[in-house]
Amino acid sequence: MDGPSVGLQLQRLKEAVIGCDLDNVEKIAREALDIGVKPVDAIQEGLAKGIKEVGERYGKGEAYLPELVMAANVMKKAVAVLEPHIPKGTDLGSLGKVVIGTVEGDIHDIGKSLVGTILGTSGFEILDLGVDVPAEKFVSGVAGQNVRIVGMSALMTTTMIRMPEVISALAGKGVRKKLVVMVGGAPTTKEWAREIGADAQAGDAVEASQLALSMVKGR
Amino acid sequence: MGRIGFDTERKVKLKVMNQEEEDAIHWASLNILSNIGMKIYSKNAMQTLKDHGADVDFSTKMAKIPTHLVEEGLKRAPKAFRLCGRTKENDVLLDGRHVYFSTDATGLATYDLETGEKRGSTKEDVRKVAILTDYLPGVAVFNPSVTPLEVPPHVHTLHELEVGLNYTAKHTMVEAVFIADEAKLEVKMASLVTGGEKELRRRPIISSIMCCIFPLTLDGGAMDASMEFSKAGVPVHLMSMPQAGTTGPATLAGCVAINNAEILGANTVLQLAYPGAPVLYSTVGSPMDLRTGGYGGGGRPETALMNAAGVQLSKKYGIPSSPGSMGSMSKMIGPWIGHEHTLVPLTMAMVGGDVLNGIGMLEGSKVLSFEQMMIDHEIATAILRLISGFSVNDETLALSMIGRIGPRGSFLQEPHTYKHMKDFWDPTLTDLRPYDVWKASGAETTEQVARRKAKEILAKHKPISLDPSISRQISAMIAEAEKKPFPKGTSENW
Repeated sequence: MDGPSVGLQLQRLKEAVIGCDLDNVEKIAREALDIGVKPVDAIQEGLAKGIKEVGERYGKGEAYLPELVMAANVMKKAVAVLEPHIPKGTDLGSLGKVVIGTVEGDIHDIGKSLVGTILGTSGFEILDLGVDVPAEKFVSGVAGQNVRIVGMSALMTTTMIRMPEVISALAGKGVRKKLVVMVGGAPTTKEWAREIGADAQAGDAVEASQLALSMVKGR
Repeated sequence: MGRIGFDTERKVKLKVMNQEEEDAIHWASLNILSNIGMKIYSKNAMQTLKDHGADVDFSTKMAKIPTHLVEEGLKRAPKAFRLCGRTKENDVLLDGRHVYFSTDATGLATYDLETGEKRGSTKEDVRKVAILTDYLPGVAVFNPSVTPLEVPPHVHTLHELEVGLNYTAKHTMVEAVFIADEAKLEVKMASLVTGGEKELRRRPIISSIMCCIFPLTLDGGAMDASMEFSKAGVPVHLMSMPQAGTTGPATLAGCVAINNAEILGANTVLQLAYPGAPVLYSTVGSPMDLRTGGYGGGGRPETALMNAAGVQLSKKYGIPSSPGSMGSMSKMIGPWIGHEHTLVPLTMAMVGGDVLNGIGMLEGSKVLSFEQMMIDHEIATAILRLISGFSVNDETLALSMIGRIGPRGSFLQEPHTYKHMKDFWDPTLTDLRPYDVWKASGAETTEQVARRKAKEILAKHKPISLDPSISRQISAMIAEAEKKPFPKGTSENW
């Protein structure tokens, strides 16, 4: 294996993500495999570094949201090429799983999906339950392995009131304590989070990502 | 879409007079010039008019300018030219289709960026304005904004020009000059930078303001200075500042007619003396405060109407314009100046003014605020974005994508969105974050953000510097000029 060319290929993967190169990233990923780059390295040392950089620029208000979303999609496309070549049981260094969803009765999911994208770029695995998600579905969602955070969104005061129901349902199954519960959406506030016994509230996706990272590390 | 400060093409359009009204004012101005006449205190200007057959009286200093000379003047005035920067990418193309912003005025006081206190203005303030102008993409032209009070008054414009030439690569608009020799020196200073007077004529990196005395009077010194500039091919902003109710009629139509007559009169002199001299049509009117007799300030609806009428007439003649745009009697940063600094420049932009001035000034253009400068830049870029409108074609209608995404979908992840994400106005002060996030990050007011950003720019930004030997020669020229005695005005003494 030729060192410099491996380094160069990792750099190309990183740049493909930063440059949102949707058209060429699969080809670059295949070339990486062809020259013997380990798929885990291609992800962690190439693609993930790219998304981290875009995410940081986004957090500073420099990169645009469509850029971040595109970069995430570029990464996904490349991961799909690389993943089948990763030996089973390899540690991918995930920070854990985040289950997110928009609560029952509410279909406004732009913000929620955005939070999913940003958390995804921060190193979490995302399980997005979608919109109009009843409490039971959140409970079954967290039953999987390595779930660290549950995130709920609501855009309306009339649906926000579903959030405490989800928290009680989690408590009823005895899983509330091992999870970080985060809420978000226009009508939610920090006071509201305290009132219903959630762990955190975020005003936007960047704050959500910062809170998620600090809360997971704090545990 | 190009760069916001330099490539904004006007698509949103407005008129404040219909064709008949426009013609009526034009004819009224011709009538004023040929039958009432102007008082012109410049011997050179009077002689020029006399040589071309105007009816001039040297003892009363009155000149009646016949219509055919006015029309000849309009024919000779260039329709499109450039206010050049020290570097080409800073050139301001005046072609009637683009809109630009400039700093403005000859203020006398500054709100200190460090102490927040209002104090007399200094050369260092002018330097800060130059550096900020050089940095801010939405400001295309530098005007000194304030007068350095620590230098002798008869050389203040030289010091201001020195700052402009040294600290910004953008075009410098020099404040009004009232002495011909001073104009000659400024031409020399600018020529040093361009590499000769021929080059300055080809690429005028400076322009000068000539202020008419309302009503119907041209100052001798100012006119002589302007003739020097025209001789050198340096563009002159023919600026008239009617005050409806005192120096002009209380009715806007009459005010605009006199304003137009003055500008046409001054243009006629310059074009007869130096055919093809580049000039800008510059109406900076405002209503007098008829309750008190005080200056009415530059942000009232009538200000917008008068200056817009001026721009409309300039368009009729095909002369580029630099109308009074941002102006306010507001004593502090706040909602009042915010609306005034939007109302008038937005109107000017929609009527089609070329260079819109007034960025950064409070109290009727007397006091400079760097924070206001940042806020005005924000307003300016929003206006430039607004008037560039939007285009309708296959790419922008994006029907195939709409079909692909369909109901309940999202366009956020689409390459099309990525491609066009920078088409939007990109604010630098406007805070769109939710309350909690804003509160947690320090709850800065707009003024505080503006101050912080101005300081950041001043700490970091380094304008392209001038050749040190040229810098030294310019300083030496000013030092030499300072030694000469304060000259007597030329207005009355011939």
